[in-house]
Amino acid sequence: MNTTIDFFLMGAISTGFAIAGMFFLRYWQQSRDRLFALFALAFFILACNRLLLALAPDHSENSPALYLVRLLAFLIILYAIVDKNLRRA
Amino acid sequence: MKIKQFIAEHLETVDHLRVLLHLKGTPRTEWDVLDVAAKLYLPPERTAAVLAQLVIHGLVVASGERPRYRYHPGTPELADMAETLAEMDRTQPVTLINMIYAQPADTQAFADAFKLKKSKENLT
Amino acid sequence: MTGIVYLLCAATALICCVLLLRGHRSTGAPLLFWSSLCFGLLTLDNLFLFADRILLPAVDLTLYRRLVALVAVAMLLYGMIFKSK
Repeated sequence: MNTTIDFFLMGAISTGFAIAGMFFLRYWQQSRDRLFALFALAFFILACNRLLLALAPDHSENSPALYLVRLLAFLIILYAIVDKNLRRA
Repeated sequence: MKIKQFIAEHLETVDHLRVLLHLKGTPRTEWDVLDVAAKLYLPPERTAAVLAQLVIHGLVVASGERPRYRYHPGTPELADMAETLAEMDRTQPVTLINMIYAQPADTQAFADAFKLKKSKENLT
Repeated sequence: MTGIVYLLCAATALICCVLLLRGHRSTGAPLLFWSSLCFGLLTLDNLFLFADRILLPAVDLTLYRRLVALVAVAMLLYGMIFKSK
């Protein structure tokens, strides 16, 4: 794929995730519910993930190592859900 | 669309409900902010804000430099829901007002969505 | 192994999508609708990744994955900015 377009798309996606992360941070500030702090963290990691993917040289895009970063983000979300359910309401 | 969803999307407070029903009751009249405020015993600034929100939500239209407001649902679906709302206001006003008060903040609803076991009150 | 990583991401996103949709059904809150849409698309993004890397290594789905992710995050931001009280 055209690298310029890919760069542009990755930048947009990364920025979007980062902004969503800031919203979750604000929700956390308002509600003090840990779930939002964890979601914010996960979305910031997703933003970094996209940024790293875009900056990495082409051949390493095929290495799944960077996708472990994405896995980390989703594991944090999973943990947030489990945590929400184990806590006393 | 269910009435609950309509309320969640368009009626943040009971003031919104009162202003909407008032305008809906007089569909041919164009109301000035101050007249609506006087009629419903609401502060004018509050009334202006509520009316502006109802305009954004496509339930009311504004016209003129110093705007006058008239009930005018943007879609047939909105008209139907407003009709149901008015009917509910006549037959079960307490239930209606409770539904508006019982709305959780969106962030609360978001967090609660991840509770696998829901308490009974959340399920209604 | 890498396939499992992609599928686990997809499964997590799907769980979020379903829970948020269920929450939307019970509260009607529009924010939940838009966020469930976002997680639904993120599920798709991860499934595409799995298809791209594991199932069909010969086909390049990169552009589709990018577009799906972009729309996903756009939906979430739309909900957060315009549809949340």
